[in-house]
Amino acid sequence: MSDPVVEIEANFRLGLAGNELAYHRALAALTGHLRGFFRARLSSAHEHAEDLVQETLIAVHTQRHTFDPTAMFAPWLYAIARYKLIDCYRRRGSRGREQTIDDASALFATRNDTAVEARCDVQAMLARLPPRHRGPIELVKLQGLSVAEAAARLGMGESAVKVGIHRGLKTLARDFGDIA
Amino acid sequence: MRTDELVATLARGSAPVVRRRWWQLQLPSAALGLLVAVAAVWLGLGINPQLSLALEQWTFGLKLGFSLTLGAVSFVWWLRLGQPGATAGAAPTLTGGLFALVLALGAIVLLSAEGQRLNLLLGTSWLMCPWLIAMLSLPTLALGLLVMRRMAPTRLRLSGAVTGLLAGAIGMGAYVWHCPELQAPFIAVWYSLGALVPTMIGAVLGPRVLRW
Repeated sequence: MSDPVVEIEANFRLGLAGNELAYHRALAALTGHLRGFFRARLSSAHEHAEDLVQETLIAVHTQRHTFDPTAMFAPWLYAIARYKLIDCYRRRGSRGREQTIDDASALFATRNDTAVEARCDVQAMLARLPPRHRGPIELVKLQGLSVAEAAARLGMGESAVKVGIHRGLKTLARDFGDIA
Repeated sequence: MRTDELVATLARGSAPVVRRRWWQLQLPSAALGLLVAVAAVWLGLGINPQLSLALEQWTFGLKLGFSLTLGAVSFVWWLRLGQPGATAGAAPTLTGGLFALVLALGAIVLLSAEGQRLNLLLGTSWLMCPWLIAMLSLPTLALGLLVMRRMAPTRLRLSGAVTGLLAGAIGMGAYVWHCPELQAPFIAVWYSLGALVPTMIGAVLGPRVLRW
């Protein structure tokens, strides 16, 4: 497929339906585009851009329920990436740069697959979460246990595990911004 | 953590997404806000004793119509603001047009009246009306902001303001059952101001409470 967004969108939609592999592909492909997009717009070190890439990926993941399947994918993703970028400008007090006007196509215009280490360590941030959020994330997301297995191991209900993962990831997405 | 590890972590075990539709979360929250406001009118302020007479006046229809239309338009706008990348469509124009229409009606009535103009504008309750509408809108404003936090607004100040506008419309919709005034100029000015108060509160709170 020539247009990268078509393939990413298709995989993302499959991912929403529960196809883990397609979802992984969509996020992985997004990473390169997000990196190119943020690096072009952040004059400072690439570590900041990498933080923003990770932050946006977490946001895309935790907010994927706000994606309307009847709508287009690119404007949705672009709105999230742009929001995270403006939020970053605002945190760093460079208000003048908020006026960057471009559109969703800018996001897929560039691509950069050379990763650098992000300054924020997700592992270290995980440690700051309360155990009821951290436990489920570690077991399900990092070790790959099923929700049922994690629930049995932690002595929690399955829905509590799901809620813990969701809330924990949301906290992570928020704290990311406060630390970066 | 490296980005590719993060991607793998996020993707691992991701279940199908259950998307909650607007009638499952947003509509009930607005309805609950209205219910609380109506209960406050009924139990606290009291229903207008002359309600049966008021119902016969076209201006009662104006009040109710203003509230309903503003409520419907701001509700749609509010939903769209919670969804990244969604456009507001005609909502801003319709909102502006609605206020312009109500203010124009008020102005026509006021200008065509001989004498009594001050009474048409101020009635007996102008000092209370906007504040009572604003107070009645607060439950919806609080609920609306909570619900908005579960969505993904990318324009925080505007999202807060429109949440306030919706709350204002609902406050109006509850206040009409108490309000003794039936003059179009009064409605145009004080009802509009009543909706404006929660809108401004929402605009102030938005960037603080809606950030994600």
